[in-house]
Amino acid sequence: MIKITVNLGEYKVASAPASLITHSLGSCVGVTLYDPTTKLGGLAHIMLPKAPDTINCLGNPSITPSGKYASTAVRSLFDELIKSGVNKKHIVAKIAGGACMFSGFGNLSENMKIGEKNIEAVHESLASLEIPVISQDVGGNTGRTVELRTTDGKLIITSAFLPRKEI
Amino acid sequence: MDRNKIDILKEISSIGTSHAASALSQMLGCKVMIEVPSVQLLPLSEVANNLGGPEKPIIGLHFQILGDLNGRIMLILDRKSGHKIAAMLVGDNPSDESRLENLDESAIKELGNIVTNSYLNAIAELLGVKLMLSVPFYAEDMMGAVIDLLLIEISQIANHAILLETKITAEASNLSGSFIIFPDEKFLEELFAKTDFIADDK
Repeated sequence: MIKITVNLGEYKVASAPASLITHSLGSCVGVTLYDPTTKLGGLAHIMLPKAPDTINCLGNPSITPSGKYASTAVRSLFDELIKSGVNKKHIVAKIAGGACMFSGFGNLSENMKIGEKNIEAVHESLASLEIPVISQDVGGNTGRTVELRTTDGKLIITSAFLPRKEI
Repeated sequence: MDRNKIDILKEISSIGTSHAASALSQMLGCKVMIEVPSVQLLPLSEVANNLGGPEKPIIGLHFQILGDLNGRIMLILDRKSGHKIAAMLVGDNPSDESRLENLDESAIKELGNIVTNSYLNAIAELLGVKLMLSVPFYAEDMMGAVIDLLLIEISQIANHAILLETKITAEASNLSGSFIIFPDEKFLEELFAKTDFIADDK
């Protein structure tokens, strides 16, 4: 079976029987949109909650992958699915990731809660598009590899120290 | 980045790592080798692949560099090596099935602290700057999950990371790991300014 890899900061869509996989989410969040009637689905590997208002000179906006931010990734996935003929009413979402990998990060870094912030931002973006979140496996202190099986919409979650899960 | 600057980075990392290796060798009581450092400019999505793959099991110690220059250092130990080192230092036999706990974790942190401090102090002395390390932040998991916080931090200003990696190995005990510096732009600017200054002095 074909497995399509979604890298850090990317998003991709696929139809059955292909599956979409993204490896080792730490604080990053994987969000999937899926339509059970057409068996079309999409997966984004999100790094940050929001795109900055002004892009720093080092970050060339033309090459900024829109899978990088919750605010743009969810929208892009949604648009792709609609373009492929999916009925908005059928789309459901699942979320995984957003862990806090380092214990005792203290007050040293603003980014210590980035996982939580990412999860929150994904929920907000989904809510604004009225897409229901039907299951999630988020938080904790474990990295997750997630795979969206487009044949049945299941999200398969594997991690280094926890048993494999399907949600 | 021009050839000259890459060489400066390699040289600095080499000196840092050789100090770190001798500290490590003293602590573990075995011979430790270092490889020639590599310097690469990589898209953020390629970093984990370049370090052995996103799912490679590792123990990562994340330090912030504080003082005159800012940046981040990661000491990455292949997971098996980490467990072996814990066994050498603590004298127990940690399970392969689970993460290291309490005493083993503290021992690795302490070792990381000493080794990384000798790395950084050598660099600071060479450059004539004051550099300090934060306490270590520890994680045992898949490579991609351990480094993504770092990549997230970098991604707020750039889509590429400069990866300055030096591998350390202790063949007799079959240990391997690497030091990785993720300098930010300002770190690099100031570092090159300092090294120009040193070169001018001679």
